Amino acid sequence: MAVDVHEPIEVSAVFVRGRLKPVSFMWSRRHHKISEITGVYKYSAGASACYGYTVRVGDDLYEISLNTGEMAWRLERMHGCESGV
Amino acid sequence: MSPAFRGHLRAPRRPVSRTAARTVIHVDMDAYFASVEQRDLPIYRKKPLLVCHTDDLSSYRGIVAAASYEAREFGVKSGTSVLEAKLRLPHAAYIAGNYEKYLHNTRLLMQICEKYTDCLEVYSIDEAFLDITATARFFGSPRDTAARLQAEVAKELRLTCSVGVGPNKLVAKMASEFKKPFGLTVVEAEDLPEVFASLPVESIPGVGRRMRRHLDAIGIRTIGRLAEAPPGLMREKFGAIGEILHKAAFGIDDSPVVPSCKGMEVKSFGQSLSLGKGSADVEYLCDVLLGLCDGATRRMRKAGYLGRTVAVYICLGRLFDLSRRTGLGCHTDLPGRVHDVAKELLLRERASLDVYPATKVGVSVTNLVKRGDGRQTTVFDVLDEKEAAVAAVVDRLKNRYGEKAVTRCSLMGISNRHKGAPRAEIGIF
Repeated sequence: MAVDVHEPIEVSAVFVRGRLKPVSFMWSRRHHKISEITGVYKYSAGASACYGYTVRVGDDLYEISLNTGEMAWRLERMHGCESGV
Repeated sequence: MSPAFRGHLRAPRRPVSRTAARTVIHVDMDAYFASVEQRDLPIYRKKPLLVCHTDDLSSYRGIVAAASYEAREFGVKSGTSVLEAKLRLPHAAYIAGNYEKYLHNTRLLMQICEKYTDCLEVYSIDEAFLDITATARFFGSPRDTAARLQAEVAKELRLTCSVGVGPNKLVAKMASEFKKPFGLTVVEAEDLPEVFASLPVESIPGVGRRMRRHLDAIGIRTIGRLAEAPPGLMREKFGAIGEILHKAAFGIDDSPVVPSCKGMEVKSFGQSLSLGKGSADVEYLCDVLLGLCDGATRRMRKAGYLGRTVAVYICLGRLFDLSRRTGLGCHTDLPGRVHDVAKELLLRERASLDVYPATKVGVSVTNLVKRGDGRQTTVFDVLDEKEAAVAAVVDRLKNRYGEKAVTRCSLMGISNRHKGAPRAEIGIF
């Protein structure tokens, strides 16, 4: 089962061939290294463009988002062992 | 012969299509929301996954918006209540729908479809019609075109779709249902009688439970039987719909594929809400109506329409539904006036609500005119200047910060106010 989090997080990201690629993030005072990006989508929140990423960290999957208007990252949901699946 | 057919003894003549020969493709994504989630969240692959429309996954409220094929084996499908799904599949994965993600994938799907024709009608979030009459020759035969499109969707989106090819939208849509998932069915015009005859009448898009009951009552259960029915009888029993149905039984559908950029004529703006087990709390229902009026009129303002008639739709228990409509006396796109009238219509049904709780309410505004299309609205139209100013500010806030940026105080926490009637499903019609 998925667990809703909706908390701000700090993300390290790089640009690769014109695309933004999150590499790792800090959440709950822990460093999470992203091993794979399994999905990306774009949407808008009012006038701001936002990007949603589904990323794999170990065996767990996390859904993170970037609001380009606020330049802020959030952890939206997590799925997997840590969430109790 | 069915007793209903007596008096209509003349053998039915096959209706004829009024349009030239066409080739239409219908693309239908397979278990769309669930497939998108299974693609992005590999831990749910090959497992029963239910994408739900609910505000609280830990509860039993809400409905299943999409079920993966693994979940469908247990009889759970879209529209099933979360309560029923959890009873049947307690160990399945339940996740809340992420509609932004699905819309993003729909946009990509439509971009792929646009490569095959300029006549593309976006039919729903996971369906599209393509009129390939003029373009199929560039890709080989219609079957080659459909196969190529299907392969491209699978490669680019990593999602499967089922494709139907036919001489019109009706046949193409029915054909896409024949083989699922990842099916490709081509129905030629000359094959129609054999292909359709044995299918149940509810295979025709638009024939729901109620129409099936009416047809059943006059002995029509299959499309073949529907084709045999005298057109006069169908017209007499069901009016214009009867004529359309009779034509459909022969696979005749003259409706064109309307490219979305050209836009279809808008006839109404509406919104509805399912209320789980139901509610008889009139005050709560009036607040729900207010939220629905807000939603519907916001879309009207966005599209630049004013409406003159309000209709309220109420499902009473699981058995009855009723629809009441009345004029507004003026054209408006403001929620206040629409809500006043909708509330009045709802309150007239208070006696029914005492017996059967409302399980779904909806509101729609019809009799539309386009703002500034040359038609003069009267000086009485859009009466409340203050409300118009507030609505304009709310619209600007929502345009800038998103739909959830601002809400009425009276609607805050509405989903928790009536435990038996949670926010479960909002439909736009």
